[in-house]
Amino acid sequence: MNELMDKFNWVVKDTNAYLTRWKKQTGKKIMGCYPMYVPEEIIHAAGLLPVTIFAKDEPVTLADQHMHRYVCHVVRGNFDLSLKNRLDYLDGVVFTDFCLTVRMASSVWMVNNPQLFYHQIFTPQNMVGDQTPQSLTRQFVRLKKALEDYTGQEITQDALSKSIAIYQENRELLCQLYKLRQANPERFRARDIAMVVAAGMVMPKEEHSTLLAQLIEQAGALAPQQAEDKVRVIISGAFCDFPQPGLLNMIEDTGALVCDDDIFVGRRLFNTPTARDKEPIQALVERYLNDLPDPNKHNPDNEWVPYLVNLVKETKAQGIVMLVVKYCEAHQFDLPYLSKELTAAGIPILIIETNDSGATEQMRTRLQAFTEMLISRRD
Amino acid sequence: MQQIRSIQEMDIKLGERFQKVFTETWEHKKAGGLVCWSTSGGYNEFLRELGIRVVIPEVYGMVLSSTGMSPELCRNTDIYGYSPDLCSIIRSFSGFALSDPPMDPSTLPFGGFPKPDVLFCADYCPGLVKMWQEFARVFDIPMYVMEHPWVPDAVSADPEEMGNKVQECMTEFAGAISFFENFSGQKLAEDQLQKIANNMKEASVLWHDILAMNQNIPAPLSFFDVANQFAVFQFYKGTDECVQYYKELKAFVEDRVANTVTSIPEKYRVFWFGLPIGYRMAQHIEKFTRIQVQPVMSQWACYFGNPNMETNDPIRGIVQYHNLSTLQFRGVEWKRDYILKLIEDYKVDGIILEISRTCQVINFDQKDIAETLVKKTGLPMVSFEADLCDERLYSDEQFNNAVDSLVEMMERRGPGRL
Repeated sequence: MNELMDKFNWVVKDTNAYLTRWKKQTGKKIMGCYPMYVPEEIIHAAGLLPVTIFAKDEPVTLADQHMHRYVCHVVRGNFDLSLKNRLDYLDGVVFTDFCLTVRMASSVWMVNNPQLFYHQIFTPQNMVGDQTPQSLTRQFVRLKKALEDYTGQEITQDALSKSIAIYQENRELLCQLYKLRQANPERFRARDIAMVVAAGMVMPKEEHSTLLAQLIEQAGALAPQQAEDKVRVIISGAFCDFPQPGLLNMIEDTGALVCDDDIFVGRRLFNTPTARDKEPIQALVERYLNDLPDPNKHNPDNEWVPYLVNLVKETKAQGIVMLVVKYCEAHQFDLPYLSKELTAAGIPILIIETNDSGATEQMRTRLQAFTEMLISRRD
Repeated sequence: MQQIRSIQEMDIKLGERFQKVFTETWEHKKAGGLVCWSTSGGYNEFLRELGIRVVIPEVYGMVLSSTGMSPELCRNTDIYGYSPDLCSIIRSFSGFALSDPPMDPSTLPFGGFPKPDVLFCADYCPGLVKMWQEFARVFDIPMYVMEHPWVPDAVSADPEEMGNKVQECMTEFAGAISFFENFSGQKLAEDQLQKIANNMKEASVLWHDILAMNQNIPAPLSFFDVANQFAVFQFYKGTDECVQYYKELKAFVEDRVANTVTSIPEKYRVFWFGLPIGYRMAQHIEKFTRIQVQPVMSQWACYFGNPNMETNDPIRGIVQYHNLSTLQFRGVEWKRDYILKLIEDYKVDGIILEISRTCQVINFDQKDIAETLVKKTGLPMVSFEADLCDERLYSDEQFNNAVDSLVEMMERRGPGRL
């Protein structure tokens, strides 16, 4: 298992080296996917490698000349990497416009990195609008056409179906890994799980699935561990963000066991399946429309609080650690409501605001207090 | 020779219009009529014809800012758990809208406004959707959400995709009409919508004619005058009253042009790139009067009205009004070119960049645009951080230093505009 984890860690920590080498070896192009909700299967079917653009855990320097400091660190951070030539492996970027900052970031990227191919998908926020499915279908078809023009090759239905099957296999493997984790969270550090998931957002899915299957086999063979004095928690939020490993370690070092999650680099990536037996674009549209609730979507029929309450129940968690990216406006606006409703449902919640300054001692103190409170409730 | 005179006469008329809106809304509610809280993104003009009175809390947020009440109301929302990083306009009106027990309306400017029966959110800002969702929960009333799509530069340059966007918005808008017809039990006649579109077009042309008169030297209005006078659009858009008001304003401004009357003595003309600061407007006018610098235009003034909207199909025309003209929904290049043209047309000597700390719609791409403005025009520019409503994020010292530095730069540069 250690060898596999080393590989996942390397891919995430040195994405630049990994992808530069991959590009040299394969001669293929790499398309950046701006978080979140880019239908990567269409890019994959075009013969390109879709790669999620993360911000790194390091200070933002050059981006501050272009964006005010009260823009979230994810958007500032990944743009900063582009200005530092650390994303030179990219041939283009596909944006959605699922949040205000992301939709506006696309313009700033285009002006400052004019050498790249760009495409922006309008992703509806109103999930219950009469014309939402048709509008999204048109957007996905438009992306397909733009990629065909870019590569000079048609994206066939067959290629799309194959890509959907490859992605779906990867999702199912991640599902298996999470089941193992739920059953015995002592076996997995939250940081390691995040690394495994994040590596899959960078590597070709085919390669990731092969490694993932080996990891599941090895992990499944391990004897269960028991750590009765720990409390089970879920981490939630961290939209668009790769939570800092130091913070994930801190959560567990204070006496909590992360038994599941509701984060972008986690369950949100694989929870909602794409149907293999439907017309491919239609299947991708349905996946988006049926995907997990988030603060940027308006859907009275699929609200976040009931989903979280259910997840806590299913995983036998005792509390939620909510990671909020500072200046993530939609998420911040939801916090009073979330706190009130979850508290009313008897679920303790700790809100941790994250930015590019890393895990702090203040966070440790709050996490310790939260864990102690959960232990005292349990006992 | 410049004559310096405020536009107090029109400001009084504006205040009367405002008072009328709030008084009528209370009377309507007390008589059993329906009230809708709508976002300022528009599309609400037809509600009046269905017997639904519209309140736009964002505009009221600006009123609260001007009257100095915002900081206290923002503090209320801090207590409710909303981060001070969030939009201060939303925090201002939510500070009283969510107050429990409810605030006494008589303590509020214009007597406040009644609770809603229905909500309309034309989604152009995430904070608004979130707060409208909260209102729907708190008041337990229905809400209609309408997409308000962005127009990035690639789409601006693609007529086919622009056509598709307009078509989708038209379908959305027709859906909104249908929703509110069902809600009110009334049917909107085609000629009613046509009249609304005609009035919106006429008021738009008048407004842009008024703005264009500020190309005169001296400008008949300051940006601060403009920042107040846009308000009639928000509550009366689509009505005969709106057209009548802007006819009066146009005649008033023409008279000022003919008599070389201005609001602020104009030794230098500047472009205000940002939002007006309601709670310091009086001090800003005093400062600019003292140093004889007149802010003559802002991109913000051009958010209102679309003189190029078509009226032969009212649904299409209203979509064009709300989605296509408003430069805040466009990409960097489109905005930059638009603002560059304003700077040329209005013959300014310098640029003031106002950075609204909690409004990402406005502040996100300002830096890149501002840099290009300076590079392309060679004009001096200064910036200061502020916020539309939350005074805690504003510093008089920073503002004064910035403006004094700009004057020094303009003086060093000497006379000679673009």
